[in-house]
Amino acid sequence: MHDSAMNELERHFSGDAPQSFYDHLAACPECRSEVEAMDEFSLALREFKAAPNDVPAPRLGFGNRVVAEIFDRHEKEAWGLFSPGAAFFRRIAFASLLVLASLGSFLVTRENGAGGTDAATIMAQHDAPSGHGEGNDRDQILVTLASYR
Amino acid sequence: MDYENTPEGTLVRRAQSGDETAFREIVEKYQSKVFSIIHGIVRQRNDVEDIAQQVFAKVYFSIRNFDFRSSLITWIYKITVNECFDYLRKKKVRKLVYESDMSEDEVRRVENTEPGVDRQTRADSTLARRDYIVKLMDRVSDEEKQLLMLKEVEGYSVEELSGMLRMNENTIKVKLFRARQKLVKAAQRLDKAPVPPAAA
Repeated sequence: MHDSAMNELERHFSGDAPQSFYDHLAACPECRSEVEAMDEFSLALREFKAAPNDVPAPRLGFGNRVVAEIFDRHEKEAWGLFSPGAAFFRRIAFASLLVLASLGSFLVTRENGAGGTDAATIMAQHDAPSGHGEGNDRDQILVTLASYR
Repeated sequence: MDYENTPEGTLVRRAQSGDETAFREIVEKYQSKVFSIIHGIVRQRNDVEDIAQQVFAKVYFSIRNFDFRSSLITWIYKITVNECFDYLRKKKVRKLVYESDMSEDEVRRVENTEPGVDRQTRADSTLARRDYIVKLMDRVSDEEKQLLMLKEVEGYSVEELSGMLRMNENTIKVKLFRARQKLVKAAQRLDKAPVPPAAA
């Protein structure tokens, strides 16, 4: 669109463009077709204007309801900080499984390293007299736990 | 006088600092205007209040971001228009009830004068046109939407918009021109069809 036409375009939509604008449109098919296309949207947009007599009036207490809704939202947001939700519990469950798995694999490798996995072998190993130390006590407890049915 | 130092500017400052009374005053002052904007766009009497509540809740939660570059009502207008188009996008205009699109007088007049088929055709045409415009308005930015609505629906001149939005007149003209061009191009892309004719 030519600058001269563009400059007066909004006055055209307001209904007060100068004659020179329409003279230009009459002589310039390119500007004319563009303005015609825009005219249709201008008319269509005006349909969004409310008819003054038809607008529903705010009911009594509208302001109170707005404020109540805002406080309601505030409350939900505040509780949201403390209520963990499903995602939180899923993460906790996943983390617990990870801890259990790593603990289990740690115990298995430790027992393999000791040379036997069944309770009898372990007991046989521990039947041999040996010096008492803290490590032995710990092993003793583990053996007791492993053989407990 | 600087807008920030006007009585309304002071009211906004109070609301920004969490004064609930100031916020209530803002609601009281602008609720009718907001209702009118919503009804013009949405034409669903039953939903006007719900949307207005959403609008004022948004005003409350974002009033701290209000920077006094425009007047409060211009800022509320933008929020309202966006809320309405969001609503229409979600609800799909075609599903709106036909009668709600007309005033009570219009419905009565139509019922008394037009045969049923004509009435249905007219309703379909109006809804199709509205649906079409809503779709097209989705293709322009929030600022462009606001400018188009203020110019075409509220009837402000470029000079008035320049004062309201604190923008140069030429900037306003260029922005409006681009917005209109976008609408035309979007329509061409959408289906290469012109705007459905307005219901007579």
